[in-house]
Parts: sequence; structure tokens; C-alpha cells
Amino acid sequence: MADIVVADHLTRTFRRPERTGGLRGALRHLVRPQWRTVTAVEDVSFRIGAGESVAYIGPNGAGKSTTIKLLTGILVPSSGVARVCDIEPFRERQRNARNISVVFGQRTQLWWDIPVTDSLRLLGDIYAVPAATFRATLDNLVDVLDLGPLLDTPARQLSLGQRMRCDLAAALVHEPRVLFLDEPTIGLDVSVKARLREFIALMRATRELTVVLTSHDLGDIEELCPRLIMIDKARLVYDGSFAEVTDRFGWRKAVRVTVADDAMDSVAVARSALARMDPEVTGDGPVVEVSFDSRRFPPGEVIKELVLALPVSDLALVETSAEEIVRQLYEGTLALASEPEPEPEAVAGDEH
Amino acid sequence: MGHGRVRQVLRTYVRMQLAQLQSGMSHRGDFWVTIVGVILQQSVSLVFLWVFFSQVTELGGWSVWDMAILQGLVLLTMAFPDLVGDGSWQLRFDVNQGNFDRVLVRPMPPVMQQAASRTAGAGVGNLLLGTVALGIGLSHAAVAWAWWSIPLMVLAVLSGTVIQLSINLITNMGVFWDPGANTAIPTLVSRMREFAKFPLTIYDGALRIFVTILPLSFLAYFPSLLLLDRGGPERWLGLASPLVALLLASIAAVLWRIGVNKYQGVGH
Amino acid sequence: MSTDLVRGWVGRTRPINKYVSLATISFRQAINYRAALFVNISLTFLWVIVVYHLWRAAYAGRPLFAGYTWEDMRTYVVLAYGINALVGWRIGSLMMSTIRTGEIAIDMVRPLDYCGSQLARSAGYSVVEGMLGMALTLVVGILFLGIRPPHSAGEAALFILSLLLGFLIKSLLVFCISLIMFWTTNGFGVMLAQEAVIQVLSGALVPIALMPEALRVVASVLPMRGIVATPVNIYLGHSSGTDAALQLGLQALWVVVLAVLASLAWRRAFRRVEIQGG
Repeated sequence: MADIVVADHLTRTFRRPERTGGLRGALRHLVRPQWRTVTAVEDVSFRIGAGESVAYIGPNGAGKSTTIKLLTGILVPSSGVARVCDIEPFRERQRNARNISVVFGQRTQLWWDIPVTDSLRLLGDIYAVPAATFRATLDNLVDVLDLGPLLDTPARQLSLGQRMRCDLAAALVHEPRVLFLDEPTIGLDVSVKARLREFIALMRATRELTVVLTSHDLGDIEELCPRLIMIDKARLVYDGSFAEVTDRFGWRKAVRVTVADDAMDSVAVARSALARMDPEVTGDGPVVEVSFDSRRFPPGEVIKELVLALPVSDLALVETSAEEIVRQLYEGTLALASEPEPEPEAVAGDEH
Repeated sequence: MGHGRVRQVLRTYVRMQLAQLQSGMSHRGDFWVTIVGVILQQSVSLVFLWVFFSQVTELGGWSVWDMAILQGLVLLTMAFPDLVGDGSWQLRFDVNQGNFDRVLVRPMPPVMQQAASRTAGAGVGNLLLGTVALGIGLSHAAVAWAWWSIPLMVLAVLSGTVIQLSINLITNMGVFWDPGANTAIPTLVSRMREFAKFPLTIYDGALRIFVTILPLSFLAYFPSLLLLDRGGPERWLGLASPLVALLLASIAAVLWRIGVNKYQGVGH
Repeated sequence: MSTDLVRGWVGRTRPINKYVSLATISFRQAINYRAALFVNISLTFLWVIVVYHLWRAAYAGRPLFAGYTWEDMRTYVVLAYGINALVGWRIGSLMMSTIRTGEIAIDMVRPLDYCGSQLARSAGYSVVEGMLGMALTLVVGILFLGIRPPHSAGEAALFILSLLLGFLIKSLLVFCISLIMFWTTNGFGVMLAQEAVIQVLSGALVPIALMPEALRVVASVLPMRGIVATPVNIYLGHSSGTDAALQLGLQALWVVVLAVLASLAWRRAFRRVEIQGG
């Protein structure tokens, strides 16, 4: 698989004025400006092959949108090289623009007051799509995205979900090789999100479209992107499969039981019954949740002890959601080391 | 860019402008109200001419018809920038809202996309008014008609259009260096075209030099000298309008490149 | 609240304080925007410079035009600009934005209340705009354009009275015309049109006495002349004694007529907003 998107030691710094407030500060800045350097992206490298679908995630301010801007030609790297379809986006901006497409979730690229079909045709002009190809592509997109009834409506009269579907069509009118999606599903309801994800998956399958997605929606990532790249504080912290992340960090599990007898102090009972397993027990009325390290204690054992100790009327095993894992990654409570975290027994007493 | 490419870009530009016009017309009531408003606003200076010349028969050799020609020419040079290149005024908004990123991600020169991002339907008003004023002026003034009279006027209007477009772009580009820049200064500069509606001879000293350097006198005054066969050797400056237009357009192009480079973070 | 308003009619201080505070708020707002305001004012002043030069060229051939000397005329031009700048579009664009944001619901307690509060707002802005305009006028006028002061204190006093009446006329007029914005969404064209018409008919463009017959007749019967022509003519001494008294009376009459018109028109607009649901 040839590499379609290549980031090679990409670095981007910004100079920000060091400013104090008030009139004096403004004057001082005029006469002797002080600058501080902010690094938005530092030494980021990765390679994406044709047809791959990658989620690019990180906390707000981590450097996600700056990286995307470097890859799409909006910004020039301070050092390092970006290549998309073997073109440096900044150096050959227009040539690169033909190969890519960007969907900004919050901002539509449709013209606001004119019918959608006119917007699409205008884009066909801008991208110099030959008439016959345009018609065929458009027919296909209209069909798959069910845009028929929307075509004659001005963008301003569309609902968010309808507009996003039209924006996707607009993005693919010129058959790009790489699609960048920046927070595409924000504000959309569940059914629309599902449709969009289906559509993107279809495009990947039928057109070998490479997809780079930034999103805070774990659902997007789980469904669309087998590969996850995470950036935090300007540096790359993870590049691997999404499944691996959930495997690696999904060891924290919980058993949630509903206790039939209100009168008991279920939390205390559970805690003493499972003492040797070092659990975290919380309770809310009749519901008790016990979370534990599933690497040390198989869930079966935990369940067995609980059922013996309490009159359980209902039971559920709760996996750590991907959401939760990523949240902890963002918060830094889970460290991404270069090797998987060793099994607790093996490192008992060890120091790093 | 090969020939075919140039044609494709221009064709797309025209279509983008038409889309803006289409957008403007979708708010029908507002569209006409704005046009009428602009016509009334610009006709104030024509009314002034009418009233002024009801008392004063001629001013330094210029009759009311001569002045009407000047006004007509200036209005025409205002009409086209409104209609086909109003996007400069949108630049500040676009840069601050991040819309300019979109422009950079498309395979078309950013300056053309920006220019086509807005159209002022008001330009129609100026077009109508300018044509009427010019027509009336030409039919009554002592024009030294020659084979080059009409081509000269066309050249003057075209050059004037390019001059106004360039100035608008240059003054609105400030946002690349100061995101807080507002349209106050560009508006002030563009309004100075009022000076161009009257003969240079009424101004004196510093003001006259000022009006010539801000190439306002090339919009209508110098070409009119040629047209009406008056004035001394300075009349030949009437033929220099295209050069001035070219000069300003080049300055605008260079500054634009610098501005966009700054936006894209070139240099640090 | 209603008893307050009745008492307000009779001149008690409480409701009047409300108007003062409104004026103060918009005064402060205007101060914040003073840079933009200054530019706005400079734009119109460009026109003054052009007109000044035109008249200078005209007076090179003749000492008098309809009784105005060169000194009169240049004073006229500069003053006319300054006076016109006292009331800008502000009242109109404020109204436009309150309609758009729905703020207007808060204002719509009573027709008289609304009209009064708009006037108060306009006054607040005008103090800043007017001050800047006047400042520019005086500086440029005295230093470069050689305008002359009034001939006597009496003239000056009458001038100021006439000025205030003119301010009211323009504010009420702009208010009435701006009510059109309850029917259109974009009032920009309306404001341009209104400013153009007022500029011509108030005598700001050219003294009314100089206008061709047809236009002069029209301008004589309309209220706009009270905005610029009347006060400036008093200042220049072209209108004095009984004539001045007559003109002032006419101004006052127009103020009353416009106030009545304003409240009637307001009631219709108010009803329309109610129907629309705000």
C-alpha cells in the first residue's frame, strides 16, 4: 500500500505577543514587543496508506487542528515535511487541493442562500470536474445520500442533519483521494450519525477513499476508524489500532447488582465480602457497583462472591467504555507507555 | 497557467459572482430597497450639480454638462467593483471567522475566491445612474468627438475599475497584520473618490497633489481633458490611466501574496 | 408604573430620570465606538471640503449668490454639516438591532415611553457624535476655512434655540421613517434614502434660497428645513426679528405635528409587532 498521507517530523510553532494590559502595556508592545513561542505541533510523524481510515484525537488545544492545517496546505510547517499523494500541500497548494477535501463540522461549504444543486454545480466548476463525470458522480451521491428532495432547497433552510449530508456530497463531488473530517457529527442526532458513518464506510469500500477524522465522538471512531492516532500537548502519544487501546486499558471492569433487600447496608457487605480483591465499591440505593482489576480477578469470581453475599435480583457486567478510556487518556490518568503495562504480579515491588 | 486554465478560472469566477447575485436576489424586498437607497444617495451629488449650476453658469471653463461627464465616469468606475469584486470588504470577517481556510483548501487563486465572495447589488444603482449622467453630459457638452473618444472612455472606466478594486483590496488587507482592523480606514479611503467627481482645478496646493497621488484624478479628470479637448499638456495623463491601474494592481498583488503568506505562517 | 407616567406628564422627576439614564447609557456606548464614529464623521466632512472648494471657485467670479457672501457661504456649509451630524442614523440602526434581537419587547411598555426612550438614546449618541462633529467643524472651520462667529449674543441665543428645535425635528423624522423597519428586514436602504432626502431638503446641501423654483417650493413646505436652514440663517443674520420669530414658531409647530405623527405611526408598528409575536 503506497502511503497517501505522510507526516515527517512535522513541527509548527507560533509567535505570540507577550502583552500586558492597559495603555502602558499597549505602548510598551509598540516600542519593544516581546514574543513568546508557542509550539502547537512538535515532531509529529506518521504514515497513512491508501484506503485507511484514521481517527486523530486529542484533548482540546493538543494540536489536532494545527496538524490538519499542515496536511491540507493551510499552514506551512516550521520544520519537517508533509506529503499528501506525494505533493507537499503548502508548496503546491492548488494541485494538492484537487486531491483532498475537507469537511468542517461547524461550517458548511455550501452557499447559504442558493439551492443545494447550484452549490454543487459551482463546486464542480471550481474543481474543474468534466461534465459527464460530474453528472455521474452527482447521481451516485444523490442516490446514496438520499438528497433528491433537498436539491432545490437553499442551504439555510436545511436542518443540521440534512445540511451535513449535503456537505458530504459537496466534499466528494470532485472525487478526492483523501477526505479530512473535522468534527463532522457534532450536534447530529443518533440516526443521522449512523447514516453518515454508513456512507463514509461505503465510500471507503467503493472508492478507496482515505479518511482522516478528528472527532470527540467515540462512536464515530469505534465505527469508522480502526486506527487511532493521539496527540497531546503537541506531541504524538499513540499510533496504533483502536482495538488495542480498549484491550490494553479495558482491564478495569465493574459488576453492577441490584439488591432485593433495601434494608441492608449492601455496600458494607459487598466490601467485606470482596475485601481480598481490593475493589472499589459504590452504592446508590438498591444498586451496588463493584469495580475491580480484571487482570487479577476474573469477573466470574467477583460475581460468585457477590451473589453469595447479597440477595441479588439483577446483575450486569460493565466494560470500561472506550469513552471512559479516552477520557482517562486525555486526563492523563492512564499513561501511554511504549510497551503495554506489565501484569501487576510481575512488577510487584518493582520501581520504575 | 495555460490558456485553458485561465479561461476556466475566469468562467468559474463569473459563475461565483452570479451565485452571489442570486443569493442577494433571494431576499427580494431588501434587494430593491438597497438599490433605491444607493441610487438616492449617489444622486445627491447630481442634485448638487443641478442646483449649483442653476446659479453658477460655468466654473473655470467647466459647464454643468462637463461636470456630468465627470460624475458619470466616476459612478461607472464605482459600479463594477461593487458588482464583480466586492469581496475585499468581506476579508476581515472571513479571516477572523476562519472562512479563509476554506479558500485555501480549494484549487483556485485565493484572491479570486475572495473577490467573488460578495456582491453589492447596489452596483446596479451606480451603473444606471452613471450611464444616465454620462449620457446626459455627452449629449450637451462640447465634446471634441474623434474616433478615439469612445475607446478612451471605455479605457478610462476599465482602468478606473481596476484602480478602485486594487485600492479596496490594499486597504482591506490590514486584517492579515492586525486581526482587529475594521473597515473604517478602507471606507474612508474609498470615499475619497468624491474628490474625483470635480475638476482638479478647484483644489489647490497640497490638496491637489493629494488628489493626484491617490490616483483619483486618473479616474475621470485627466481622461475628460482629452475628451473635451481642454487643458494643457497634462491632458495626456488621460492616457496614463491604464498604467496607473497596472501599477496599483501590481502593488495589490504583491501585498496580497505577503499577506496570505503571513496568514499561512511563512517566516516563523 | 402608570401613575409614574401621569406624574411625569406634570413634570415630576422620577420618569425623567429614566430617560436621562438611557441617554447616559447610549452616551457611554458611543464613547466606546468613538473611533468608528470619528471615521463616520470624517467621511461626511470630505464632502464639505469638496463643496467648499466649489463655492470658492464660484465666488471668484461673483460677490453674492442669493444674498450670501463668500464668508456667509463657507460658514453656512461648515455649520450645515455640523448640524446634520448631530443626529445620524443611530436611532434607526439602534431600532433595527433591537428589533432583530428582540430587545424591543422590553421597550414596548407604552407608545409614549418607547418614543421617549428612543429620543433619549438618540440624544445620548448625539452628544458624542455631535461633540465630535462640532469639534471637527470648529477646528477645521476656524483654522482652515475661515468661518465667522455670530454677530451678536442675541443671534447666538436664538441660534441655539433653533438648533434644539431642529434636533427634535430630525430625531422625530428619523424615528418615523425608521418605523418602516418593522416591515422590511434590512433597513440599510431605507436609512440611505432618508439621509439623502433630508440632506437635500434641509438645506444642508445648498441654501434653500439658491434652489431652483420647483425644489425651493417643495423644501419650503416640508419640515426638514427646520433642521439646518432655519438655525443657520438665524446664525448668519439672514433671518432676524419677526422673520426669525416666525421661523422658530414654524419649527415648534412641526415638532408638535411630528410628535403626533410619531405616536400614531408607532401605534401601527406596535400592533404589527404584536401580530408577529415580536
